[in-house]
Amino acid sequence: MNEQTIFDAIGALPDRFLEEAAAKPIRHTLRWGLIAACLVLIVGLIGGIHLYRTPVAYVSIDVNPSLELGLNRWDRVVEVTAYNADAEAICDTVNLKHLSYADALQVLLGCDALKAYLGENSDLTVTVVSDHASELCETTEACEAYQQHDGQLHHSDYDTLTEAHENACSVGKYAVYQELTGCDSSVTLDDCRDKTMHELHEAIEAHEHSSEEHHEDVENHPETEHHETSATHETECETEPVETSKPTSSHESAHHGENHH
Amino acid sequence: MQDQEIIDLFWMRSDRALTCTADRYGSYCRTIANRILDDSQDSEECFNDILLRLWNLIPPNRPQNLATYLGKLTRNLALDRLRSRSAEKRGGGQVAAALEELAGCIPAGTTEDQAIDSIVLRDLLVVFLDGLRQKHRIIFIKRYWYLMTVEEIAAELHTSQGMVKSSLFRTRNALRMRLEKEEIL
Repeated sequence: MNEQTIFDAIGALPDRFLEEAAAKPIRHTLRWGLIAACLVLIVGLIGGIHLYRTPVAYVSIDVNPSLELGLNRWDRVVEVTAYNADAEAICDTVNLKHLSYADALQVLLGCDALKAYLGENSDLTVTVVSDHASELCETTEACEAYQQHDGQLHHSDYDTLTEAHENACSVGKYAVYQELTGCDSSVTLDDCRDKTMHELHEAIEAHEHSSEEHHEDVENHPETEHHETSATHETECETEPVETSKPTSSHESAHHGENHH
Repeated sequence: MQDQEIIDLFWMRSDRALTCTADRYGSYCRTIANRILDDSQDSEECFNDILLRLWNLIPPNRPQNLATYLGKLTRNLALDRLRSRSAEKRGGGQVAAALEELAGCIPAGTTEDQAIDSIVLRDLLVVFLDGLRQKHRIIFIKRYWYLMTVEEIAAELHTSQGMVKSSLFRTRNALRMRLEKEEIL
């Protein structure tokens, strides 16, 4: 055997080797163009995923179960947070992620797990925090399941939302807690955590009622005014609980059909 | 004009088949021939032989890939012409250089008169080349089949001549080791 033998053997190689070697290599500029295009695509994809997964609006749904939906800029549910054991149990039964807000609300309010809490002595409270709260409120009001349960609809702001999250509480319940502290400063958030929304609303009403009675007493028996000075101070808080407890419009009512004050 | 249309013209025995082939593949065939013969006049004559041979081969043949078909035809005819050239033993073209390089692949202890089945050797080469990385395989084929110079390969693959030389050196060594391992002497 000599080099000629190997040379001849190379000459007899199958066509596929020749075709592979004869194929035009990708030009450098084209290659870099392709790499750049791929990078742009990857960056765009990552950016898109990041945008999709970032919640920009929140909707808190509180009865006794207290949970919060995080919505992205396309009003898709990208985050579901349960704030108590009842809410966790509901989250285990329904999958709300990636649903549109309208669908998620319908599924959530229509599910048996939540219906069990929506009896006579229960308050369904929906609180919206968003730059386009009015649109989300309209969507909420249009929801068939929401209409059936005669809920209360509010909107709040991002400061209250941040405070609520710092205290591991849904924004809906936190706003009601702030309202209650306006009436009774001795109330703590931990007192409210285990209470249903109905109980919290009742507590607020009770304070308002006692405040009204006190006013009537003062008018009817002016001589007792001196002894009730401290109570009068509290009453001032009660008359305008929202502004006093949270000047940054902590729990403004957006729903015109119903207001839980 | 597409390859299939040129082949159809050959089948129709149209003279245009030759002009179209010359237009599309003239430069390609002459380059291969010139690498082997190292003489432009010889290469031109070789190209005329190729066209004549092609005219006689198509029909009955209908090649799937006209470029590869012409490449093989050119290589074989140019090598025949080189062998028949009495003045030069091996010619001064890339064949001589390639053969010199390929001598490095011959396993130690091999004698020139040891015969080897060419089919066995070709099959072994196929397995060997399939095991190489694509870039090294392409460089090897460009050098020893298309007989391109190191400079041409480097320019075509947008790489350095050093890289091409290094690739060829390593591939030849690997081939020698493979031949030794297979006890092909």
